[in-house]
Amino acid sequence: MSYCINCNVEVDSFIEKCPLCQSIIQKSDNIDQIFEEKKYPTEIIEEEKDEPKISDKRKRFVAWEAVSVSAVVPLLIVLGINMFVERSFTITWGKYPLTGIVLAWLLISVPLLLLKRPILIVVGETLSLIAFLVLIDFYDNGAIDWYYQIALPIIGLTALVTSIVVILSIKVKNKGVNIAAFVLFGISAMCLGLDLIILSYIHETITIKWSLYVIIPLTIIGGFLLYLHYRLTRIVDMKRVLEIKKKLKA
Amino acid sequence: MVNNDAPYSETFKVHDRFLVGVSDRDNEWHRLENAATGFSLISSPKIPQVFRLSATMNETINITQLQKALNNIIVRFPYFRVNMKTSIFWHFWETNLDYPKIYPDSKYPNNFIPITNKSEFPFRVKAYKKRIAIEYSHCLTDGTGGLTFLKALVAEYLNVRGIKSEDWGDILRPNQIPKLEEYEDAYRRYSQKVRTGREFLSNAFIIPFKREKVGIYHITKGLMPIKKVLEESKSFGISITEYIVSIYIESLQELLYSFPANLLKKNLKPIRIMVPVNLRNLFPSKTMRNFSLYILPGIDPRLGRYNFDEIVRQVHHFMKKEVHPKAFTSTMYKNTTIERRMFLRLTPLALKKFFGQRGYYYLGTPAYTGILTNLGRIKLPEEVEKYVEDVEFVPAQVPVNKVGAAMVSYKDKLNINFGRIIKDPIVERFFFRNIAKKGIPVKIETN
Repeated sequence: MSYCINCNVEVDSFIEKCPLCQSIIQKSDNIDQIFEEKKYPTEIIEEEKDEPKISDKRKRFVAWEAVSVSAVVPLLIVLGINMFVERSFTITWGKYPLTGIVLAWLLISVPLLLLKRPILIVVGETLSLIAFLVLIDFYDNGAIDWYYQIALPIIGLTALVTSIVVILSIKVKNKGVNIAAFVLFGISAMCLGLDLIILSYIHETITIKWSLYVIIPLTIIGGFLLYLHYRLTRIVDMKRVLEIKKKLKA
Repeated sequence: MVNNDAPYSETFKVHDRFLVGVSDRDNEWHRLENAATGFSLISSPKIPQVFRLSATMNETINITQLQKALNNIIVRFPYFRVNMKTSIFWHFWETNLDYPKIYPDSKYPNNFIPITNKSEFPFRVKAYKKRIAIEYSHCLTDGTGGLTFLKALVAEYLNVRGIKSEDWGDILRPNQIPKLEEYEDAYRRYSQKVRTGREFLSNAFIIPFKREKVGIYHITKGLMPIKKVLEESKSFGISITEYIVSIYIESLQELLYSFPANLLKKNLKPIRIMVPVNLRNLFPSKTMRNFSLYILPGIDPRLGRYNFDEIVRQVHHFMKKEVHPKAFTSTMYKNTTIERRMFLRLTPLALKKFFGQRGYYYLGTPAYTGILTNLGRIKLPEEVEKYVEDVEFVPAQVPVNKVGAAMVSYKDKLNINFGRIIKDPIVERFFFRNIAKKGIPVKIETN
């Protein structure tokens, strides 16, 4: 029999350290090790997972397949109704919803198939939107007019601002409130661009109006967040100020 | 109903017919009872909800004979011969006509059983050296149902080994026909419509250490002479459960006061122990499915430090007051009402699981510091008892509370098994040192 003098408990004779306090066990001379053995195996058997493991790539592909098949259903319904109403094989009003369905399919398919490639996703989504708006403009009167003055600049601006914010957020080393600042600056740039594009189209002169009300507060808040992130955190231990403590390790 | 001479082939026929039912369908299904519904919504590798009962025999287990015994006995437990299926709104049990297999034991017990996998049984029989262990998903049954199955498996194993007995006592045998009351959802049967409102408890003191990697589960077993524990508890005029709960609370209070001042201030909250109550002792049910609720005896250290006598008084009077059929009838009604609500019934299962798992972490479970479940004294027929050296009960993992305990007494020993998911046996150290201080000799074993 072995005994821990700290805890006053008996332990198995093959035990070197007390399981409760980790102090060295004093062995007595008349230890009988024959009848005592380990109560559990030393091997760890990994339990099976809840479901058979399917790779993420495969899961995404299955999701894309499901989306694609699901998109065919409304596509065929619209096509069928259009032909039934018109009593001919020509597509008239149906081209609008059909183009919309194809756009929705493209917008979902691009991120599903190109995950972890943010630049390609932005390019893919932008091209899909460009194609959609060109077609809608063309369906209207058989000519492309408002597309060049309104749609293309807005899409270009959205793609450019989104790309810059995404790239900055990925590349920056210390992530924190600086990401929020980048998003605020992005929103400011978008508002400024929209204001310019829309007012220029309406009044045919370059003017800025409402966007200033958004840009001024957002730039100040964004600047404060950057100061907080890059300057203040170096001087003051923010975790201590906010009483954020790591959990104790037992 | 008992026909000890019926050959096994006949028995299989009887029970298979019973399973199939009068409709001649290939399989039957039944709904989960109230507790199982809750467990099924939160069950995951992080919250396995698996407990374990084991019997250590007097010689090494013969796996082939154990498998044969398991195949024989499983037909007597058709409500255990199931597989969990998933529908849009709920899980349900479907008859699984496969035979469960014997698994090798692992260093860390009570890990997740993927019960919704095809043909997976909601329990696993494991063998290691002289020990037969059964790990049960709590969705299937509670400690009492689990113990009934373990006893039946051990008896059948002895029978397969050629040990014949005149009297198997209350042990269920393969040639008996299962009674319908063994299937029953006792929560629904015994709940009564009462409007008492729902009390919400404040958060209790939670052991503030980081959990180990998922899958690691440390077991610390304390073996002590039941006679000595009984003597000590009788000196206070209380039951063994009340006595052990009091020591558990005393140990947690000592742990709390061992913290540095800032940590003590932060954690100075009520210490409560969750003590499951076997409702079969209060209501005349023979169900093999879950039928237990719990009470939460404890102390409030914000009122000052308690000495052992004060803790004993608090625990004793609380348990005397709370363990009463009327109190549980209303709780059963409240619990079963939740699952009856149309809004919840029509909520998709995925949403129920999402909110169920978050609810487990943030509601209910933080109301208590630890768990102590007592299966009581195990009695086996004389013929069986001489082949069984020890019976153990290992509690399920408790991810929020981190440490739990289960106790069972067999022959002249009381076994208290602590299970923890943190590295340091800090609670066990205080607890077993306190036991030893009270003059009760303790032997410690671990995995």
